[in-house]
Amino acid sequence: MTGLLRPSFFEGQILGAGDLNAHVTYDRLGAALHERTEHLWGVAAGLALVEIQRTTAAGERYVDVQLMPGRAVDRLGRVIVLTEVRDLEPALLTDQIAAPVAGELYPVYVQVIEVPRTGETRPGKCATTQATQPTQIEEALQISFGPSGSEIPILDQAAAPVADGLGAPALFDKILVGWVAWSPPLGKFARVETSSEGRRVRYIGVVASEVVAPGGALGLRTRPAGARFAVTLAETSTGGCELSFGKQDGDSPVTAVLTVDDKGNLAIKGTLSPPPAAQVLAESGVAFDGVRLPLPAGVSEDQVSQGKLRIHALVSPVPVMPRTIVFDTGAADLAFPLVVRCVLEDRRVRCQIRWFNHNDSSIFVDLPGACTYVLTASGK
Amino acid sequence: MPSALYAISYRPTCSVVALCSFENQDLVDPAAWDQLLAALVGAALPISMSTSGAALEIAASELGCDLVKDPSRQDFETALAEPYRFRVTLDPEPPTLPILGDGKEKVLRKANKNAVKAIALVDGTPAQVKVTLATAPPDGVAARLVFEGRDPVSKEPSRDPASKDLVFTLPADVSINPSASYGVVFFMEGTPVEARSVKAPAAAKLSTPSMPKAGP
Repeated sequence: MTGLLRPSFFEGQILGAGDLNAHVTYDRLGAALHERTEHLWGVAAGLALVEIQRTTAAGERYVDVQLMPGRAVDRLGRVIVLTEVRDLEPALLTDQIAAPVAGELYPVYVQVIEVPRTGETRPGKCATTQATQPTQIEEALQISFGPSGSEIPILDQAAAPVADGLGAPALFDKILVGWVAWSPPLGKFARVETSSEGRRVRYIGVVASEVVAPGGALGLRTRPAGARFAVTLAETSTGGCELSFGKQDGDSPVTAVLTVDDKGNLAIKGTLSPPPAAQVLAESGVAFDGVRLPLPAGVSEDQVSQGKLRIHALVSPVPVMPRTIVFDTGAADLAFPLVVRCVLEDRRVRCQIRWFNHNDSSIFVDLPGACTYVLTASGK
Repeated sequence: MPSALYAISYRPTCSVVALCSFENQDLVDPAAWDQLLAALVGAALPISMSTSGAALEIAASELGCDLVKDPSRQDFETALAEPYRFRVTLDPEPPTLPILGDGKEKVLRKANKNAVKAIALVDGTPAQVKVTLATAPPDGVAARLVFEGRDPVSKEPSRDPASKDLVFTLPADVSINPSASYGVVFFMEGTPVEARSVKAPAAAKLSTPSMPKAGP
């Protein structure tokens, strides 16, 4: 038998407890397999730790901690539901953690625990033994604490495979709901944390190769409500579509910093780094001999040295008129200019002008000069 | 015309002016100015000599970098042709030298007319460099000299108040080869910068004791 067994009844059949339990088991297994194969286990809603500030008679501060109502699904696909606020007892932590120290963060877990209950009304009950038989199973929730770091293997647990059926509950089928810090001198909780060393509470997920929106708009949001970030994909009233990312406050429209429309037009409010090949940044001006040409605004030396950008530069000497020049001999005389060099060496301008004595071209002096330049940087 | 004009000046004298321009630079703090200087100059600013010899380098740490108010068209063109004839200063000009790289907008001013007439290597041990000006330099004005391969000579040169000559004594380990050329840059407040290659006298004219006299 490799498939599920669905109970089937016929008219006049006498039903035993096994027949009825088989029906319940069939539904439980279907729900559990749905959770394990189509979702990722974790907290679905609520189950947040809330701290209530307290002060001792001596003025020392501590907190009482409560677990808020909520719902979660564990790695076996079992649903954990808490319908009322539950207090976290400090004594429970000291029972489970040998010597809690200040500064450590202790993970807080919830776990399914099945508690048999006896029904209050049972028509036809007569035997004493039958009167004490449980007729309900409470799918209760148990709170526990763990040593610091024990949440790492808990968070890494994979869902039980389909072949395990309902699975065999184990000690580690826990769900992390937060962390508490301890105050040893007071024997109380010091505070609540929602993360520890980069680790956070694991929330439920979806396993899907395709997500389809029923009404032309799809959204991914970082939080259920309040200030959050969102990626939305929505059809427009003009028959197009727009993908956008940005901040969103509650149900207000997303303040997009990135959008892509159905024609492929990309609009961003930040910068692209490195610039795409199509983008060319340019710088121009006048530079004197010896100066290194500056890079365009938004381009760094690192980008150039790492070969992420291609630099092109063009230099052209600034024209100069004949003028009086003091030659190396100390004599001053009218001289005519001739550009003998105007090049870049590692983006440094080398521009030299040879000034010839107007009476004797064998007498000359080389002096630095200026050039105009255009420098462009483009992505590779 | 560039939208912004920058000048690089030699710190002690505000006299070496290198021009360049670029846009969209937002410089408000010293670190940004240093970054700009590093971008424009790198480790050192090469000063070309008047002959085809190697350029003389001034370390970036010896340079200042300032935003300069756009000059007039005529001044701009003149400054591009002869930048060493300009200096950067505040407007109005303060009685003391302005602080370069302080982010305050400067203006370009022409240097005064007390130009260098001659630069020559002088006989003797240690070697000396004699700078001859058009007129005698005023008292209290520091003059400096950069000799190739050496840090700037920043001390006061020996000076006769009535003389137009400023004599700089080079370090004792500087050896001068006859007829060889050496790069020299001269700075003095208000005076045009002079960067030139100076040829040492022929062997016969050097009076170094170990150097034999040539000819009768």
